Amino acid sequence: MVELELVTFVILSTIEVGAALMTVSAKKLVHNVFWLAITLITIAGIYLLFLAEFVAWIQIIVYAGAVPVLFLFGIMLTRRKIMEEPHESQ
Amino acid sequence: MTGALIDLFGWSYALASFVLWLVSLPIALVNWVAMQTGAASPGPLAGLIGWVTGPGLTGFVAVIVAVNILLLWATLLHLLTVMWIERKMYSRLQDRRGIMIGLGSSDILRRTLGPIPLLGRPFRKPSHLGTGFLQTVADGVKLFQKEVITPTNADRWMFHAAPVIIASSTLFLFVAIPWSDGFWLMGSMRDGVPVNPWGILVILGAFSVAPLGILIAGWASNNKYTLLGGMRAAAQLMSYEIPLLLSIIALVVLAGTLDPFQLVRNQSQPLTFGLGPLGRIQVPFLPNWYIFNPVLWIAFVVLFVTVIAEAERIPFDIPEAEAELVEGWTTEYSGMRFGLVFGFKWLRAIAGAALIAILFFGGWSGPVFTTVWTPNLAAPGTQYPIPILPQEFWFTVKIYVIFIVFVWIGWSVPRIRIDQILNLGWKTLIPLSILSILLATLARGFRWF
Repeated sequence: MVELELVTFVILSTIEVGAALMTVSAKKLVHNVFWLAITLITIAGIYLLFLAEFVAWIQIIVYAGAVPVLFLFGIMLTRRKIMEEPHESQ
Repeated sequence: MTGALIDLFGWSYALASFVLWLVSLPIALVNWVAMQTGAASPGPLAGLIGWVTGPGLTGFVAVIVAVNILLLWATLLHLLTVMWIERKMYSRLQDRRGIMIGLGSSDILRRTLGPIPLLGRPFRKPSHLGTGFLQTVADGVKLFQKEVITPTNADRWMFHAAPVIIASSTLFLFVAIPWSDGFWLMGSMRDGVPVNPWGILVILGAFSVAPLGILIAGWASNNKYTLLGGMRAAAQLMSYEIPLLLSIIALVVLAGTLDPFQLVRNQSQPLTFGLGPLGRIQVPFLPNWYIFNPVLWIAFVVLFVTVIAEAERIPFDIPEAEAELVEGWTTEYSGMRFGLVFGFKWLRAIAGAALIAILFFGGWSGPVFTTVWTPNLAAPGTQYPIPILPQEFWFTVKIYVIFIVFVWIGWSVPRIRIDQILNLGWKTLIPLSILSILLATLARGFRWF
């Protein structure tokens, strides 16, 4: 009988490492932010697995909520061209 | 528990055991046939039957059933009712009757059942017979039938991921919001009462994920209006989340707990005020709701405004300004995707109203004068409350009344301009919420409450 906690930890950490790799390898910056949010929420799940509930919810409030939004603000307020023009993507 | 009509886990466990018993019947039949054809006495499948009807699998299925009951309760019952309340309410504010299609509109029903008050409405014109509740159902069916269109130049993957993020984070709110002492999903029983030590924190965390989904939705549609709407939504939701958190901190400092069950238990006592060294006085006929505490009035105003802003209701609906931005970040969504991203804003409004009710209006505890206090025989010297109506009824009534106030405010005041939104959030609400934290800390320190 495999331990349920071990299975959960392996699944969560696989998602987390995969999302972290996608964070640094994705082409579009908004995709990077999406994968970063996935990484941070999965870390909150691992905190929950360690029974550190308070840290987990604070992790979701602070990181998963605010950091990607701030990051997106950084991208959208600093880059001159926000979206791809239609003729470029065709 | 006292006064809770619905015992969610008890009901789910009973339903799950029944379903699993039904599943075990054909296995038992096969087992019986095998025993008739000469197998040994318990039969070859006895272990399988024991596993199917055992406590492990039953508990697992019961949790799934409980989640589904809670989500159906929130979406099918409260979402439809709240949309109906909003449409009838703003029609009345505009001096018209609003939507009319209801059960009373059916000729067959009227002919067979005769003139029923409120359903038949015999005193009205033929086109004004219904109460309008079926109109919301019809709108849902219409959205289901529509084609789901993905724009050619949209970022397909993110475009389809954004409604998932929005819907899942909104439904996660309802996992954390308890509806009574027996109707809750997140928590555990300790000493005979439900506890969920970080319940308010979970609700706030679920609120804080939505801006990410909205921003992704606005960006992925590849449309300048949706991008503007998404940016406005992110700016607004982010800057109003800070006073939301701070004003709740003021209440938490005073109450000393983040547990929604404990907050409601605190508020179901009779109202008492501490006078510092002079002792305590008790106010008759009033419950100990935090709205009656003068220290928290600033925090209440800040919380109310920020909840309206978090739900993107009308004074703060600049992210989806219909006239200038053609529904903002929801422009490119069609069919049921639009239904998800648009309808779930009402769910967030319900969750916000539930949060206000739990924090300031005593949650699911009824008013004191509808509660019969009897001496508790198990613990002498204490009193045991027996509410006359179930707790789910009181909680629902409070949520709907707060929602009606949302509608009332929304259709009475003009929209706040984009340049005023951040000023109001950062220069007015945040200082006010910090002031309320200061007041609450002083009150806690000097034992004023």
